[in-house]
Amino acid sequence: MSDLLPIELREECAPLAGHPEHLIHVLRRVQETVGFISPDSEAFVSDLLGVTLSRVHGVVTFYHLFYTEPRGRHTVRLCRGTACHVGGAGGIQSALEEHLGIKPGETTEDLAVTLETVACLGACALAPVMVVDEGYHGKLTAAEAVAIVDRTLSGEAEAG
Amino acid sequence: MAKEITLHIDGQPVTVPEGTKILQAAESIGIEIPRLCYFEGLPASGSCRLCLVEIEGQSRLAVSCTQRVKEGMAVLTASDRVLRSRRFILELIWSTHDGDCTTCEKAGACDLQRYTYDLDVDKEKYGLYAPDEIPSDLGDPLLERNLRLCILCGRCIRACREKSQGILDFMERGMSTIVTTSLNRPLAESGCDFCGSCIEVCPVGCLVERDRKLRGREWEFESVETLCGHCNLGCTQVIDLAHGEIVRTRPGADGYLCVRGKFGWDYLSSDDRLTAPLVRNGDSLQETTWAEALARAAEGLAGAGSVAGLVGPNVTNETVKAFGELLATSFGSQDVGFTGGGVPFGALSTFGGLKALAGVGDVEKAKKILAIGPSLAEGFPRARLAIKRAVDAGAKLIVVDPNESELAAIATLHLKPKAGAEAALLTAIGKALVDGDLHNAEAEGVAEAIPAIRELGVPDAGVSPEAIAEAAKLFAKGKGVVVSSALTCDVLSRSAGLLMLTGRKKGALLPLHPSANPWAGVLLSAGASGDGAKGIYALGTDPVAAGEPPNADFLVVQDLFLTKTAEMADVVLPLRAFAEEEGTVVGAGGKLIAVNAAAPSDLPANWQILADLADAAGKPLPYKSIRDVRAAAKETISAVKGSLAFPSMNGAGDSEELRPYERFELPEPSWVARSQIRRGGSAAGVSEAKEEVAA
Repeated sequence: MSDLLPIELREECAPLAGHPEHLIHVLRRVQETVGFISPDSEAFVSDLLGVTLSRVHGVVTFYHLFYTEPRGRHTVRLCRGTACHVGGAGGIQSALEEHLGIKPGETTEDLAVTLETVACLGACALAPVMVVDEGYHGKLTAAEAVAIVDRTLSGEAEAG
Repeated sequence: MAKEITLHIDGQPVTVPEGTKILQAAESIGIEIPRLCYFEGLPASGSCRLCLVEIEGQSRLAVSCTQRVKEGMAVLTASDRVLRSRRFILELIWSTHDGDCTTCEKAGACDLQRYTYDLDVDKEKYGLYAPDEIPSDLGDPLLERNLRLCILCGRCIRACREKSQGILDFMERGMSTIVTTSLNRPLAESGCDFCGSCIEVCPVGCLVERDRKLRGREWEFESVETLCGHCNLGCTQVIDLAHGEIVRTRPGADGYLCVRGKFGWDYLSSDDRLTAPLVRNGDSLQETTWAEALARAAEGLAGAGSVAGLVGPNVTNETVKAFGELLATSFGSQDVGFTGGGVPFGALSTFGGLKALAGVGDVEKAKKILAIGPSLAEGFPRARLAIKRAVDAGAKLIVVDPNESELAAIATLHLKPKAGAEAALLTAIGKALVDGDLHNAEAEGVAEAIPAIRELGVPDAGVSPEAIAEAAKLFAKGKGVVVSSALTCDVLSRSAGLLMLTGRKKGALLPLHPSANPWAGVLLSAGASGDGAKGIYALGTDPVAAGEPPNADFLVVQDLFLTKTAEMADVVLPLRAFAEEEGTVVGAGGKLIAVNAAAPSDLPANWQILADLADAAGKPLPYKSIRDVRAAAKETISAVKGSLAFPSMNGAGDSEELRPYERFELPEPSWVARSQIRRGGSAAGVSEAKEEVAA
């Protein structure tokens, strides 16, 4: 059932068997390891901790940062907060959507990029702001945003 | 003794034990605080905020279903501020409740509707936010889940967790929140056992039984409480009728019915029921009058020379008593057998008398539980619930089952005997009790039994001696019960032996049986052989289906349906079903429990039919009314109640003295499949009709 989960992860989680209080911790470890939480992973966590499947799925779907679908290798988070909105985030979003061919919440077919919008990144002085993986990019134009995403992808190609 | 707290609620003084919640304190003096998420018997979640009350000296309103009383507290349950807040909450609920009370099944019994009326709430104040993708019927069998009516109170989630499998929860977040199963799978694929506990607690029309739809409004229902007849655990069941027809059953005070009790009533109103007597005319059975049928039956049985009776376990004590009396008085026969899966009288005598019989209450209070047999949890969900409740309260559970199971998963000790070796395992545990000096030497009959038990060899049950010793040690002390779905004489007599050795005499043995009244055999004087009888009367039992076709010159069958046995009968008489009969059953601890005629029937009462047959035979029964029969039944049961002896704990040999009977197999719950097919069909019909309208 949970064949897709690496043996190391299952061994790491084994001491938590029967401890429902570790639900979120185990879900995070699953996601960090395989990138998202599949139905099979939910079943593994449910069996391991003795938590009902319904509770596991309820928790997974409650938290925005648990993903039930495979994620892109890179995450682009575009701020749609007030300051960024005024600074032109709407235009940036349209440009990114057109360039990547996906809507916020979606992942490109080649699993390269997941596009998300967030309510505020707390960097309003830099508005409009976009975060690519761990890196902040501020005072953007639409063209710059697209170029940054492209650079990230080509950097990956060079590294690969 | 808990400390007493005195407070004032709406100016009235009230004294309650420390720890009581404000809502319950108010209820104790007749003040009902509106609530939607709180439900008596379920853990409080405090999430709907409808039960907010004002506490003098506190700036914020308090949640009365979770806040405990304090000395000197002054609570206002209906101040202007409280009512304003309550209206606001109801207005918000209406902004996502896509309901129309004029067509809702729940109208009249809906809490939201009632509070909306009581508080004169403006339903349209915030408009309606109910996106089209929220489903109005998830298409499950037996019950409809209309999420457009869900108000997210969470009662069903808690009821499912407390009483069943815990398959429901809140999914998603914020405005997208819905209550459903993991991955929104259909109930049938989510481990749902269809007990319907969620329906019983739903305050609105989100969860309703499919069978009741468009059959009548809540205020038209007539309700009668009786006992569920699908097994011998005796859950109370309320049958709701509308326009003279059954539209729904629901749990009584106990608050729980399993799928059979909740949804398994459609056989009562089945078109296949026998409604008139039939008599044989050549190769066929033809409908006739009662007078003609009873005359034929009386003549045929009287003329047969020797007569035997067979009676099944799904009838009241009164029917069994009147049946035995009919055979004895009118046809001079003592040859009456209790059959159809019923445990015969001979086996019952090994249980240490009727007082040894336990009920679910005894199981829930037990500290040590020995649960024996296959499919115990699946076959008897009420027993599963009782065992789980006891385990949650700290009881130690020993499971004897060759397979993994839901109960094995929560057991302190799981013993896996090899196939058919349950009885040998129990003998081995009994011997371990004695060898380890863990038995109760003071208990009645123990001293005499000990030498023989010490002599016993340990039978091979395929379980390690260490595990057996551990089981003996675990089970030895404390309030203990044995619950068994394995109904062989061997298993039950060994179970009784273990209870005897540990000095447990009352309310200690719960054999699980899939019929309403399996102990009614005590009303009959002796076990029947039926051998050689030329005339046979079979009531509520189908020996042909059980593989024992009666060999008689003249056969009378009385049953609900035209059974295999009835097909070969000379006279067939209709029978009232258990739910249609007034009377008593033998319940836990050998107590008589009264049952009501909850479902309607046009047939004469069963005892009356038997009395009429006696009249037709010219030798009337000594009963003028059901009361007379009840008095006679009670007298017989009182006479045998305490007089049955405990069995000895000797080797395997003694079981052969008992009437052997076969291991009980769970019957296929055919009505579940039937209901699903029928309801599935009508649901498809509805969606077709909708499409036509759309086109």
